[in-house]
Amino acid sequence: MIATASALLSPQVLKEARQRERRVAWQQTRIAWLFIAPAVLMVTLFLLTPVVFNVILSFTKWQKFTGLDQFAGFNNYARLFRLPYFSEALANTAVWVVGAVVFPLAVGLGLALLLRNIPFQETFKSLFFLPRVLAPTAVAAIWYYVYAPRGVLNSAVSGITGTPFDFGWLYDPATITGSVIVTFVWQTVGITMVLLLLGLAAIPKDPIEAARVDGASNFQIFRHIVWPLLLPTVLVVTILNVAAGFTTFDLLWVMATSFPGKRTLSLAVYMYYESFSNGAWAYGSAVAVVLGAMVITVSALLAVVQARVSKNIR
Amino acid sequence: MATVTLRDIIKIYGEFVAIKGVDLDIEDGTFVVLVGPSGCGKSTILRMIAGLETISHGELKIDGKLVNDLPSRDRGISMVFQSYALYPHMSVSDNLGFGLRISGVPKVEIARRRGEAAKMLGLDPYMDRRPSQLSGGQRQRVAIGRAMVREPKVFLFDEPLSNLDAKLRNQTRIEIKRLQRQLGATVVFVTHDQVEAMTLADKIVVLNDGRVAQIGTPLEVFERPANIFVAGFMGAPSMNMLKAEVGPGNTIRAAGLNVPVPADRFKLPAAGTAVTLGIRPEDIVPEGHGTRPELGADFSAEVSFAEMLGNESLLFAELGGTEIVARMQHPRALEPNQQVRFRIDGARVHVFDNESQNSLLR
Amino acid sequence: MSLLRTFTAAGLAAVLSAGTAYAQDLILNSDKTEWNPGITAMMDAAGTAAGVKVTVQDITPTDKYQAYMQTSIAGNNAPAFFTWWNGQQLSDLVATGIPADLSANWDAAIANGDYSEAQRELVSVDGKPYGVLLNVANWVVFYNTAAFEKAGIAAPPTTWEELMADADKLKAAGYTPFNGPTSGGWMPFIWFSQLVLGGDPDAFVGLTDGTVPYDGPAVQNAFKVWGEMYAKGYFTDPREQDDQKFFVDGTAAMYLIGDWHSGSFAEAGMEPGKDFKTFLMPSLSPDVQQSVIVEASPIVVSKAALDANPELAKAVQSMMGVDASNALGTKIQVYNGNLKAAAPNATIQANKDMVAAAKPRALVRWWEAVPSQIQGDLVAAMGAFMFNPTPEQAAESMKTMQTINADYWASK
Repeated sequence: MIATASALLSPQVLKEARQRERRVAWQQTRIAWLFIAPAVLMVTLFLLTPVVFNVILSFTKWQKFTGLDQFAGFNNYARLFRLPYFSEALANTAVWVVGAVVFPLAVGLGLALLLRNIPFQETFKSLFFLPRVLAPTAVAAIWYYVYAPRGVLNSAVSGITGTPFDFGWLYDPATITGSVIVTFVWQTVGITMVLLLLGLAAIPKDPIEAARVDGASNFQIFRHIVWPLLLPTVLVVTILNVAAGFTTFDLLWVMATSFPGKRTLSLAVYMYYESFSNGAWAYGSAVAVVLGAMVITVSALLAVVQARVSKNIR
Repeated sequence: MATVTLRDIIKIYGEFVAIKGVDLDIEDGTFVVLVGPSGCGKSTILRMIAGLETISHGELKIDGKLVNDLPSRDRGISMVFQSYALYPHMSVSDNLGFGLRISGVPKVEIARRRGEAAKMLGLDPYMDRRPSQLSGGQRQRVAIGRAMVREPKVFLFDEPLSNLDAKLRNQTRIEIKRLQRQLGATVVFVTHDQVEAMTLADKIVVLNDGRVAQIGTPLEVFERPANIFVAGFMGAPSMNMLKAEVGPGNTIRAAGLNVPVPADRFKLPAAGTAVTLGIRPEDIVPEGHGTRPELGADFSAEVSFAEMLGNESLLFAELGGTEIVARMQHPRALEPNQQVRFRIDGARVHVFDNESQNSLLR
Repeated sequence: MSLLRTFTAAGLAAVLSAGTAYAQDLILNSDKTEWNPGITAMMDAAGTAAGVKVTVQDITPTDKYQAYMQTSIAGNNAPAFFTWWNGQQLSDLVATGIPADLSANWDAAIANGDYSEAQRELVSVDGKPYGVLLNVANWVVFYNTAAFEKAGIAAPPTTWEELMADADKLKAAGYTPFNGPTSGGWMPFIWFSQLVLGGDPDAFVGLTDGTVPYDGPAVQNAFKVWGEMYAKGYFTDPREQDDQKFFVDGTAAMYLIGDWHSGSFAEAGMEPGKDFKTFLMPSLSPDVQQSVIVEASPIVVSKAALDANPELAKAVQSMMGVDASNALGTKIQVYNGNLKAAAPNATIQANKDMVAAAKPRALVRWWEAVPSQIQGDLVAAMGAFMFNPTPEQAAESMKTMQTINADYWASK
């Protein structure tokens, strides 16, 4: 028995069928929208509104207690490059972004590869993850004393060399950024490692064995198989750490308490000083806008790369 | 090409003994199939040959050279995996060339071998695609090509066809056999599918519970199964097994029947000894379907269910309290629970010792 | 959800504080943590008379306090009372309309003989007073009498040459001559401003009104002298966060600071007039007139609070009375200038006498005189020099300061 459908598939019937499908689809998404609505509202109210307000502020003359109603054009942005501290803060932020990406990744990957196949793996994982659960300010307070002139680090150096050593790690422009980055790495390496371990676990074993049979050494397997397949995870970690590097504040705020050039240590700290300490609200907003634009641009670029890489290895 | 020799091979995982002493001689240019149910250790043996598992005890030689402690890359082997194990981030072309590239083979040589493999396997149109853009059969061919370009001494296949649909599986099976002949390659092929084993192998190694159950040509293994396990494993549906005892003269008594057997076929113990009678479904011949066996015993049974396969039917019935299957050539339709007369082909039955489980064939 | 709750709570608090400004419980915000007991005593003395309870809430250090107060003021959430600074800082604040005009209270206080017209000027903007005096201090050099004795210094120095010679003697006797703290986000300006005004008082005034650049000869000379003093090891480790530590533990022999600090030294176990004494800082050369920095800290009263509760004016009047002043002086040895009140200790009395005798030029402190929008950025540049007292850093700091300064005045 063969059905003849040509008569059934009339334009009228097809139109009704399509409408029915659409109606069902709307009924299903309607509920989804209902659930999303509170989140959309919260984001709009507490995220988008302040962002828009901030951008508007950056074009006013608001400082101290006056000027909110005066239009400044691009003056605040022009000042960014005229004033000395912005470029210093920008340079330090660049160091931060690079440091916050490279070191947690390198150390985290090393640890992940080391811990992957050893006994007591869970214990080690928890150990390295521990700093993450501490508040950044608590971490900063601990490390402040590690770096203090008579702190743990200098005492260790004195003990080893036998000569008094009281270098001010957190007082010298040459060492402070690096020192705080070390603390950042200490705190971040655990989560980075755990994410990378998840990424490593998701890599199928077969291509690795295939490569081994294909004649690859351990290093070649890592370089040609594991690394490319881990790249999506690496990029996710990078996006997180790039954002952290750009907006770093609390560690610096606490650890650099007594460093005179504190405001130049990152754009986030500089932004805080200009707005809240100097009362240069409009100018601080301009710093925030530039900082935000940089974070969004770099993160978006990385996200595009990440999406492409993920697609390539699927 | 090369020989592979296994002597007293044992593999232990913690407390668990996976391979309990395996000896195997694989001659140059032969197609050897390791077959057995899951968990029998066939993949473990293959992975030990590949260098992906350590060898707990014993000797593994390739071309007469002890390779127990050699890394994979120095053993001169290639492997095709069940999941194809293609490098997902590389094009077909790079998948084929990877092993050669990291081994420092000159570019011209890589191109030549890659071209050859691609031509042989019909991969030319897909060279720039990534694995995710290929069908299952195409991926399998890439995996085979990747093994080929290395020009190994030994090819290892780990259930390479199990992820393919039935039609493609048949095609690829033929293709693999053809390639092996063409290359004159030594192949060790693992499968749990006894049809695959029968069709591909020069020599079948049947494994059970970490031990070799039988080694032989497909015909030997099928016609002269060494024990109940092999007899039951090879052939589909499985050989019917009946409780029996040795009867007077050259007969076996089972389910109230006296089945006569050829005089010189078995080394039968004294009459009255309990044995197991093995009858393949095709040797229980329904009356009027196929040649009536000369030597045999007749019985009548109610067919509880008939499975139609087109060119034949499988008839399910009961004989002496045991469910049996018979094969009906050129089938006809049967009424439910219809009585059918059968004749057991006495010349083709198997008799097994109940204690050792071994065949009593001479 | 906790975010929402915070917002609701903040909104509710704003409504409540606006609606209950006349209630008995009022807040006084301050960055002067060490003075808390004194301010509390003063407010208790004043409040009892007016039936008001004032609670002192500290926010420290100073830069954080400024941030907090600026957001409070911007959000129209200022407390009834808060400590502030005079000079430029007070002018900025008056522009917001937050502080109350206290002319009536000052008129009454002057008529009563509590204060002078000159003192009223310390807290006035455009002729109107906007604060109650919390502290009127002379900036003097405190010195450790035992150290001077040990170094063989018979009398405190009266010229720069003598000061430097004494510093060498102290150094030889194992002391660091000067305490040079950088803490609190403001202390680096102490020696910077002292060395500028010691060489050219007019240039010092010009720095704060945009007429003198931060990289001109006066500032260059100050950095040169400062650098030489550092090179000779005259200053303590700038990394120490407890500003008076090196003076009270005997490491440093001299400490240039406002005489409100004498109470803290006393608190730390040094007896004023015995363990430490003071002298007026000489100019860098005899032909420059000697100057003294006069620091005046006002407590500002919120106009909104005063409008809501006119009775509060009584409390303000009591704050300017002799009892409040004595409560403050007794508790923490800080002097708020009340003419009828006794000097809280021998040192403060001695300083008053020294200033009366020497008649130096009185200058408003740099911190109060400089525009508050740039003071923090400028202090940072001075602090950078204290951590790295080299000619290169001096040049760098001067360039940074002048860029910020020029930009500010150009945008005016």
